[in-house]
Amino acid sequence: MEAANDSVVRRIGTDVEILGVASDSSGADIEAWIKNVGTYSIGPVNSVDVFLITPGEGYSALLYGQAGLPGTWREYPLGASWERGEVLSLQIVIPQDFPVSAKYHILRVATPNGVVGEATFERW
Amino acid sequence: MSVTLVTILMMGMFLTGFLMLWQNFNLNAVALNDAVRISSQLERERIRTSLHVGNVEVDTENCAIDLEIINSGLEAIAPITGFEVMVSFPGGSNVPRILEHEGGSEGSAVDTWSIKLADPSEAEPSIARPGSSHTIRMGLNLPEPSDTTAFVIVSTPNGVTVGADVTGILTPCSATE
Repeated sequence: MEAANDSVVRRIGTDVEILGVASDSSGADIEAWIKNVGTYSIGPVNSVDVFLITPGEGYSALLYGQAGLPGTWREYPLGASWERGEVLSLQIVIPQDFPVSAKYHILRVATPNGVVGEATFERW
Repeated sequence: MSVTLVTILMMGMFLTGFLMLWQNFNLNAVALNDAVRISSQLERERIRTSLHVGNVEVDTENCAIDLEIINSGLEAIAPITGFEVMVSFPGGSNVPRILEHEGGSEGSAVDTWSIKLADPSEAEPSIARPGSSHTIRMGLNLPEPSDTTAFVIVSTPNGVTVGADVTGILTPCSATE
């Protein structure tokens, strides 16, 4: 019961805010900056779940990968922590089946304990 | 006699167990209550925080952007050094980046930002009171040619953002060290 209570307390105190997403339509890379606005550190960073959603078109769950392959994401700089108040820079390489012709997309980020941050962005 | 003693002993054990459970329950309830209180306080501060962009000027000679931000919310924002400043180049070739805060100078170092004080004797240079305005000076390094527009995002320490289009940039250019 105490473990369950601790888990709920940590979840209430965990929060993220997607500050911005930069995505050039001519490239395969997406850059995102996400701030830890909760009261706890978030980690491990490679356990964060990242999704790209194109309404009416598709949904991709991205894998963590440091090699920069299509359909993966990595933190920048590699090995960065995500303490309270820190901004995590994400570098995403879009998957091969990503609907590049669509203009509006959603970036969804979920922390290891299931707290979700979401932002709509436009590919220029 | 012995039956009475056993009964008292059992009652004592039952009461002790009950009190331990009750204490545990109370500690959990306090922790949960604290988490909810702090979380709702942070959320309330975020709701009351707002930024607006005022004047935007491009210093082509020094590859710098001056962005005036106005605290249009109800909360004082402090410290200003806790702001996050990000720049991207829609449709351009220069890489998007997050700028580092430069405390010592007036933002002329490469890929840094600083607060440009209108009056060096300002009493509270690191606090943005409601209604006050501050100018953020960004020094950039833009090696790729033909980018003329940028998009700047400024975030408060609690994650409230404001964005502004900046036009009139001349690239390639680099801020002086």
